[in-house]
Amino acid sequence: MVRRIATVVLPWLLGSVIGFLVLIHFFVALPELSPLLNGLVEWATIIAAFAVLVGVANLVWYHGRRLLSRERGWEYSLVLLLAMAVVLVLGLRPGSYGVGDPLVQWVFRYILEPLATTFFSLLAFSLATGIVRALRLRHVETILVTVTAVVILLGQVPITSSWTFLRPVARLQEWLLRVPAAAGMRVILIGAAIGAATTGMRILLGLERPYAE
Amino acid sequence: MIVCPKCRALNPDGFLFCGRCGKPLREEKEPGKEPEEIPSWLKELGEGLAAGPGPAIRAGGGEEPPPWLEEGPAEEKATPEGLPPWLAEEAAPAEEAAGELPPWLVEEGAPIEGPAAEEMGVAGPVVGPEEGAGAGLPPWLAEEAAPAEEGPAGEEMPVAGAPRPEEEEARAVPEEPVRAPEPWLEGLEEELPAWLAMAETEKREAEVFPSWPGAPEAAAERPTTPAEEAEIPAVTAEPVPSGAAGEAGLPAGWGQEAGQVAMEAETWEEGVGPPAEEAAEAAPAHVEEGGPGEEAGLPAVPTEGATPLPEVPHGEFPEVEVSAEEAGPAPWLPHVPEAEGERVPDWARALQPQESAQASFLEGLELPDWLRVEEERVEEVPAEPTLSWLERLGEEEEVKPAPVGTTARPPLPPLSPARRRAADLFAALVAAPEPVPQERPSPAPSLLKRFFRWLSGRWPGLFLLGVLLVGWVLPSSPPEIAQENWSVLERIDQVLRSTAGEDPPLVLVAFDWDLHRAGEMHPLGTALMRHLLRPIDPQRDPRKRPAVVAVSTTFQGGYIAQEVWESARDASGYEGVAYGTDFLNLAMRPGGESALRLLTSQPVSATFPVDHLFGQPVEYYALGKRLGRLEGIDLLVVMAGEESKAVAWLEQVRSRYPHLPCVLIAPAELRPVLEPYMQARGISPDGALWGLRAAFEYEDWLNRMSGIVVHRDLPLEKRLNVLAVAQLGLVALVVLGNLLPLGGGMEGSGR
Amino acid sequence: MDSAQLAGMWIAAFLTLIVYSYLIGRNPLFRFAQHLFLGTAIGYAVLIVLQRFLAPEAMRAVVPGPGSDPVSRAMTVLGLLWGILLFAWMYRPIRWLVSWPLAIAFGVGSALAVGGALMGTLIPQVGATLLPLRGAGAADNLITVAIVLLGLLGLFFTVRREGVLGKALGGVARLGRWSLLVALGAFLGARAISLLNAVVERLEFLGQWLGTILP
Repeated sequence: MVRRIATVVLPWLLGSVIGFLVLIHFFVALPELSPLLNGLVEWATIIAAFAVLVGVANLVWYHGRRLLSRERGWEYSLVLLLAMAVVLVLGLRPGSYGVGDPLVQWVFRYILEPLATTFFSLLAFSLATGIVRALRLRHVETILVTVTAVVILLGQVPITSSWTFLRPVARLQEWLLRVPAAAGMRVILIGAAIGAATTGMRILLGLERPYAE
Repeated sequence: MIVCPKCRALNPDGFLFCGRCGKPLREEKEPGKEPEEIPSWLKELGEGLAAGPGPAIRAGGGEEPPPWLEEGPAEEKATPEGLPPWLAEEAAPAEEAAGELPPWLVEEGAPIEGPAAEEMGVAGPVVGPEEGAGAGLPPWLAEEAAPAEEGPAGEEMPVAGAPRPEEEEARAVPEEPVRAPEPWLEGLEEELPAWLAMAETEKREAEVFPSWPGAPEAAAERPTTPAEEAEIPAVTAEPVPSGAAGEAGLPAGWGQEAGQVAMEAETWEEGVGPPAEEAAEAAPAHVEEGGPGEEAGLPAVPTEGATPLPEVPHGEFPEVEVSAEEAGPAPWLPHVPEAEGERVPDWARALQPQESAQASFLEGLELPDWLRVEEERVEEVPAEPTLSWLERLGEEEEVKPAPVGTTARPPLPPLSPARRRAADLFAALVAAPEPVPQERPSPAPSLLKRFFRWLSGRWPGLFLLGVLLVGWVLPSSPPEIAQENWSVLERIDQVLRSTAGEDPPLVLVAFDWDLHRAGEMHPLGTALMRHLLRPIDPQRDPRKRPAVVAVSTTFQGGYIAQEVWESARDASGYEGVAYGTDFLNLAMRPGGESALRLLTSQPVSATFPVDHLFGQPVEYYALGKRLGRLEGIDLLVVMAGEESKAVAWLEQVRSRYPHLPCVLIAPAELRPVLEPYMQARGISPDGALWGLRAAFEYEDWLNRMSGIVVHRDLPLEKRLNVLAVAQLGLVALVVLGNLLPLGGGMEGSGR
Repeated sequence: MDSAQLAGMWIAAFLTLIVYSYLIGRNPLFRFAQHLFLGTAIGYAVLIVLQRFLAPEAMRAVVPGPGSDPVSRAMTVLGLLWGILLFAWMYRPIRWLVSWPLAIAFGVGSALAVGGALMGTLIPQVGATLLPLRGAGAADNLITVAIVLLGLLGLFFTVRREGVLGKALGGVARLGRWSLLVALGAFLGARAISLLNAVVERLEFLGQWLGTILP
């Protein structure tokens, strides 16, 4: 019972009270309470930062274990841990400028950046495969998606002297984006907003407690 | 005792599914029950909002309440709601792929992550599916891309993405072999909104299993033509051959990497195993390292040279049948709430997903996606992925994990009878022998054959690569400049010039994009910086230029801001431009929406107290001393790489400062998503620049207006030319995909 | 180009090629690249969080600076304590402590989500749909309004298709759903363009790199 109070009831009360205060502050300006209410929001950002650290600690724990027990693929764990350690050492060693340190920036520019962009660009190839497989003119649904996607693709071709014949398509795609697609997207946004607001209220009211252990 | 209608085995009362064959013993749940789980106030809310849910709810099983109205942990449903059934159908085969999506893709794909988690800072993970569908909408796209991909980064796949592939598969793989032409697929399509249907599928609606409510009528309503009929099995059965092909170890498809195949083979356990929410946890285990098979050392690891056996699915995975039954509906999942629903208040039930809730918090907390994944995996990954769900099942209520890898029945959680029954079922299933792949001595296929197999799944990608290279070789010609963005550029210019007073105008630039967006955002950022570096009136005062303050809520934003500004400054050749007076980099503060909320309610320096480059307090710099609250800013430029970031800025900041001149800069990809915001007065930015074409135009405009040459060798012109060819190449692929249904689709997928 | 840059360029090009080797097939080098990417990205994130957020935050809480009031500082200290409590996650017997800071985070997050969704999306979007149906652009406005209404119907109003009314409504709802598919198609097309652009950018980089080795 005590445990339940400690793990469920009190956190709920705490979270809900804070949440409602922040919500009220969202709609009503309360200048005299501002430092306090801003402090509550600040908590959330600090907790988010610590969550990153906890996550990384877990990660190190996991990969460290894998490494020590020589589990299959431990070499990759080693790579991951080493890469992480190198960045941290470069940033935290005495005399370093931290994140602004030239060596850290070098790692960022010549390792992180090419990897991030290349991994992302790899998705284009998967998209190609996906398009071949999925965009079939079969049902009304697929036809709608396919035709729209094709119009967008053609309509946004940067028009050079070779592609002038695409000009009407460009106009069509502009209209498509501005009118029907935007309206469809608006429906989705409204639905999403209702969903977000509802879920948020449910959490505030304690009907949903994703935080409880 | 209940006699199983299928295998005649005796089962204890209360069993939902046969302990031996897994067939449903009876239709346990009346459709009408579901609604009771919806709190009445919510129902009213729903009715008030959309006049819809009311009838829907009352009607019961046939018409599911919109997912966001539904009870239960959102994690469960948060999966692929955005996916229209037809696409699911298409994508299902490739589903395992999603497991390996790189974070940004999944981020898009997984509602949980993108819109919700990022944007809400914390509440993300719990946001319902609609949220995802709407804000994120990419979910279905993730499928889209995923199919193929098995993208680069198995490692990086965020949690949220995980459940999808696994679950999809659980649904698609085991079921199809058993009874291929499932009418409910059709029914779904007929009856339910796409996302709803998906959410449902994921969630395994209570009654789901025995018959998808509404399916029969739907089927009846629309008699399937032979063609359609043929199609359904074809698509849904895709997984099967692929499994076979995979066995053969031939790299026949994108999705056919050894590991992935293994994963497929593995899905029966998946299916049996985790109820939706647990799947979320289990997933990383499999996806881990991208090659689950490799890692897990599953029996299904392919051997080169074996040939696909069409009958494999049946012969090879006897358990599939069992799991198939379980897989679809995940009987225990709906069952538990049901059994306890009457006694236990809603909120108590919300507590159920313990571990997963915990896990999800981290995910919600503004972690970068890649980090999230890893972290998830860390917690969730047991040594033996095959049985991981079981272990976790034990863990939920007990600290001691069930023995892994043995056939002994795990200690039962001292929970409800429902839970107990579920555990019973697990145990029974675990006790069954694992499927052992048969050694199939077969002649190695000829080199040519293997090459074609290899090619069959890859040709679209290779085709695209070829198109790109051709585009690269072709001579480039200057693209037409539509001047569609001139009004935006002139607006920026006008704001900069019109600022009264001695002090130069103060511009706040949000660098809320990550490196992977550099292809589009870097040129845009560079052009913007060149614009902002230009003296406002070179004749009168060549030293007076806008004062630029950069902020960010992403980890990489600070570096990016610094890099963009420095390179623009170096290229501009202006004298006397100084960090701290003309530019100040204040990135970053974690917390997403929370950070932005702080920005609107206190001085900028209180939200971003130190600079990025040296870690000095803001007040240390001349420019920092000028910095007050947002009201004092003359121009706000939001550079957002993801939709969630852009929306967060609009919702949290723009809605409070509707009169602050504001320009949005984003990748072309976000245009359709954000277009509704552009049309909504009161929140719309004063203008927006989308993607590479806008960057090119910006450069051209700067050149015409101020003689600024951003790039001498016109790399953007070249890029646009190649891009044009590539876009046409993609269109060609769509055409090819329709002309060669076998080449690209079924066979290509390797299923 | 100095040697550090040149070395960097070679490394970057090498890494790019490794990642693209995935187009031929999965291989150990690719996985190496994955882990390298994760490792550096995570290391950098930790560095940023520690150096540019938590450390200054702690400093600010302890050392009174200009314009900092005691309430704010106390709140910051409390916030840091909540954050530290998260580490209870690492040790199972006290793991339950985590639900406290989490509840706060979820509470604040939900409040902001509710406020943002209402003020930032719901009201403006509904407002933007109330369009004049005559005058210039009337046709477009009509289409917009119709799609939004149908779409919402399709989204929220699912009926059993019985009877004439049920079927009619079902058909209308289906029509509404189709309109959303147009939006999704548009998104797919736009996404494709962004992804293609990413590839082009990479190819450009590889071209630059080749330029340094070819005469």
